[in-house]
Amino acid sequence: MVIALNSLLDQLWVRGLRALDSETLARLQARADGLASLGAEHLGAQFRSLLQLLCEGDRGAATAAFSARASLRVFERLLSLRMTGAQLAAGFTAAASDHD
Amino acid sequence: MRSSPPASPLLRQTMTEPDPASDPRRALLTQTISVLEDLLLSGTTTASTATLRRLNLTLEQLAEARLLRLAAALRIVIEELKRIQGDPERFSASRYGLFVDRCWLLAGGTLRALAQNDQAALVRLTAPTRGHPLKELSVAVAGVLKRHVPGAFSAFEFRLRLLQAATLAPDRVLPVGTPLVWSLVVPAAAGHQFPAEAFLSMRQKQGFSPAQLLNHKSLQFSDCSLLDGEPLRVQLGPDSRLLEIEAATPDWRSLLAWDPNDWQRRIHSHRPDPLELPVELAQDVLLEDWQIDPFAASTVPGRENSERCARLQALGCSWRVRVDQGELALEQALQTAASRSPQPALYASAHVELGEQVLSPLALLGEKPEYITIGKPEFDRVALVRMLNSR
Repeated sequence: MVIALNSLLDQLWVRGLRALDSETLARLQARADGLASLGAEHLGAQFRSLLQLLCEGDRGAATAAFSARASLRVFERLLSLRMTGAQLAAGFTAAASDHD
Repeated sequence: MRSSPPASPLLRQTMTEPDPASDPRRALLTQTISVLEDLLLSGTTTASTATLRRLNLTLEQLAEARLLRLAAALRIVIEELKRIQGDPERFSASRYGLFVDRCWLLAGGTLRALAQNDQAALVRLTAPTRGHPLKELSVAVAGVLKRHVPGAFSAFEFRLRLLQAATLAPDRVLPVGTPLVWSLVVPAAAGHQFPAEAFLSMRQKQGFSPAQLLNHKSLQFSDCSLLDGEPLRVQLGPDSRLLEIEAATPDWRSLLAWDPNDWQRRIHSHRPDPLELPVELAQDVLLEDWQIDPFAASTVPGRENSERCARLQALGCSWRVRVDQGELALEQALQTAASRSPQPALYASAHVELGEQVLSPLALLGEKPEYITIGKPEFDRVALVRMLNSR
């Protein structure tokens, strides 16, 4: 979900916030709602605020967009580090018992 | 009011900066943030000549103000914008997004640090990397990371290991086996297409050609510096020299030994920040008893045409091996090595990205390193010399 949201934001960054269409808005909304299901309530709230500013055509959407993206990058890193740490722990345990 | 931090030379330099309230950098940073936000609002397709001119002017002003980290990031944004017009197939939306975001964070973070007179943050965000001069540095080349982006640049990272302890300061002695890096980056020449390996024969200002680093000899750099970082970077000056020394073969397995538990602890304890790049948390690993699947196009969004990947099993874990598109000889070398008897160890750089460990191959290790990332492509040497002489 985080990869898909990042990919969507990459496209939006290229097209520009002012070129946001209803389909992209809906996809962003769905992804933002999905963040809450990952336990990222704060991040979901940040994206909901961004979407509100985008709908209102508020110039402050640019600041909100950069902030939300930065939070998403940190969230992705945290997830990646936790997933990898768990994989390593499981892998080393399995490798050790293979040796025993 | 903040208490004064310990006065390192870098902090003392920053402390003589103008009074924060009247610091001219604040206006420049505010202007930079405004330019970036305008770019995000209007998008790249409407980025006109006027936009590029404004960005280039901002870049010049940032460089003059010694906000070099921000200037370097903005330079990459400008390069990507130029690619949209001139070389659209090489434009990368994810790279563009990463560096636009990075510029905004650096500008905003630096502005906040100035407003709060946070000297430690200012040093972290703006200060150049500290260098430690050394009379002599004895190293061996364990492997090489090669990156070749056609039309952009060729780059080699020579992964070195210290053969003799090096003293940077009375309280800082680097032991034998400390990993170091020496980088060679060659911008692409317009109208020419040479394989990356062609540039290894290019004589450096210091009188040696990088190909000499691949002769499996012990090497001694003189009058060089080590730049702080992880790993430390070897920096050569005009007076630096390279000596190749016939010496006993190093105990490679001892030199490249690593502790998987230490890697696990680093991952567990790492606290990410928005400015870090995934490759900045990295570990050189030596993997024995590995199996590898066939390579295929990367499934990472935006990299389908530039990267190929394969799954590798080692240490009870699944790793993603990545190589640049077009590195068929490297792919083949890895596939062949997997079934050799005795199987060589795989020496690679590991980092964490998108929920998995990613390996960039550096060498195979049998009795000595096999530099599998360096191919032997054919190229027109006369044309290369002509091109180099014209620069």
